[in-house]
Amino acid sequence: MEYTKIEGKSIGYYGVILLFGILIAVGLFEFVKGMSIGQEDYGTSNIVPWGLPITAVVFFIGASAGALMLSSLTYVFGKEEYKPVSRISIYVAILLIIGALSTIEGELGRPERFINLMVFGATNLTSMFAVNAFLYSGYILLSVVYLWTTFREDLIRVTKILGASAAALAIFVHAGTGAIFGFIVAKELWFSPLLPVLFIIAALTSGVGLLILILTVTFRFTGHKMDEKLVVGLGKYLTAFLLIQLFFVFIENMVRTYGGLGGGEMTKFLFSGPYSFVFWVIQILFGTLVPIGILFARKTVLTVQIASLLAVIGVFAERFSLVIPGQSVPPVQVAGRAAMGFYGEPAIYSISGAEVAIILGVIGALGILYLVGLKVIKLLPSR
Amino acid sequence: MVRYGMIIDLDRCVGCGACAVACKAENSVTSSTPEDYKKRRLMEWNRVITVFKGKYPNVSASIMPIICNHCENPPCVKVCPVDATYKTPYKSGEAAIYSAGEGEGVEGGLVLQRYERCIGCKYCMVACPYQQRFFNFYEQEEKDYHNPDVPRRITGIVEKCTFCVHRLKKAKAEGKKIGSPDGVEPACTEACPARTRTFGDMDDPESEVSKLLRSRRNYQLRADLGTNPQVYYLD
Repeated sequence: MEYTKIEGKSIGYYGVILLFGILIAVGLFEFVKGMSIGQEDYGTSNIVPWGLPITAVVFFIGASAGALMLSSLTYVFGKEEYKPVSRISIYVAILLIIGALSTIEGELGRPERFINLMVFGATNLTSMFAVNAFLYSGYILLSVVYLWTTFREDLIRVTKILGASAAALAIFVHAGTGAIFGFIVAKELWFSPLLPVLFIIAALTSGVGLLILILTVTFRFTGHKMDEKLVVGLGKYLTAFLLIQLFFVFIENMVRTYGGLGGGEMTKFLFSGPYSFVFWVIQILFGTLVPIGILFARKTVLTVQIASLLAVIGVFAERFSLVIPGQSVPPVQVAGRAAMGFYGEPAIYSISGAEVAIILGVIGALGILYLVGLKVIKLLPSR
Repeated sequence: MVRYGMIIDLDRCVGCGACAVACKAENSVTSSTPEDYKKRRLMEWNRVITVFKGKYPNVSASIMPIICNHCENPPCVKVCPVDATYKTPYKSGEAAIYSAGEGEGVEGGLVLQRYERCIGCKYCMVACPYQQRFFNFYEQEEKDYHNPDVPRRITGIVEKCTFCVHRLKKAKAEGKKIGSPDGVEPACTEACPARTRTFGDMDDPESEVSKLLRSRRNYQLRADLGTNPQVYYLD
């Protein structure tokens, strides 16, 4: 199979780059502001210290892991029909993990001390952040080498080994991300051994969904023809992942409801609090049930695209309704006794412009890197 | 072995909040604005909450001062990716791995924070079941009356109760006794008008805290989480 670059000389190409450039400028402005005067404009508080950027980080890492695992379909399992999209999915995976790390950097209180993670990280390996710092950097390196080997026809066996190990590492990378939350004993909605597993399946859903969207749009605008069979095939994987995800979400919430730890306050807050709309309507209804319905009813390029968009939004909502409502309710201090007044009330996190700007800046940078990548590297099939 | 701990006798507490004020003054904890209150960004190394059970008219409530519990098995230390928060050693002379930071030379299992190393990831804040860690959302104002013994905290890092480690350090250097009732104690303990709090070495069987702990029924906050706090409550 032959691959090609795009020309990248049209007005549209530079227009989109300019648009992404504006996003970067907005993001950088808020980042520098946050660095110089502090994160005063953020919506976070001492009760909800992690806001939208962390949600985005988890989403990016998940989509990256999912995209990389998908590339193994061709290079490890030998399904040749997915070859036109496998190389580009590795590239997208690398971009997304870099995006996740940049978002973390933008969210830190002291971004200039980021290097401390590498210096002191090894001294406290009980921290999932420290472990993940090494996992993520290893993952980026391995993926880059893996991408490089796909250009070499003579290294086909090396590609297979690297593909398998990169996919395995992707599982650990995302399970590790799940463990960031799953190991926290203080938060009833987080402390769960199922969380790393749920994260992996949500990673696959968002990875496949995001890839379908990115690829169909790219192919459309570069004048390539996307094989309907390929899209429908990916749609089948998406259906399976969505069903498994629904099952895991169901089990997770049954345990939460049945157990009722800490008086079940946090679970109640998730189901009927101010964020219950995100959980019931965006995540469950439009993010899971509707795409499953669409995919079962009919699989064409358009329906798969719509279902992918909904599934991607659904996974983002799933991350949101884990991260934010999980922190909102102050934990019980004395068993069986509730805190009165101010200290017992749940903290409401409202999304702030500064946090959105940082995420948009990262998306802008990823967009430019993607477009430049298409121009410099032979990523697209020449058909 | 030295293991500093505190006992808070809730039967004596009247909820006056003197401990909270004394803590703010002693540790130069920044003052909060009404805006901070609305946004839930209060800096309260020592806060006084009310917990209750039941519905009116069958209610029982108790006032409860809460500080950092200086856990034996602290979730915040476990999750810190840069080893900024740490526990001081129990034996004297046993050094913490790298620079000992503020708690240099003070043993006793205090949970402290190396401000110069913190990257502000806020992982410790979500891991703490007692919500006793506070993030600096903006630059703290330097005031004339700030305590020179306490290091200044810059924006973007997390801070917490230190059991007044600067007092303990000074007392050690001057050879004074540490612990209630006649030794050096943290500011909150000293300020309490009802002598609600007792501070001292839990490992010394002759100390006031040990005697009190033996004599009364006591409990720790969220002992079910396995953190083993060094702040005990008498009820």
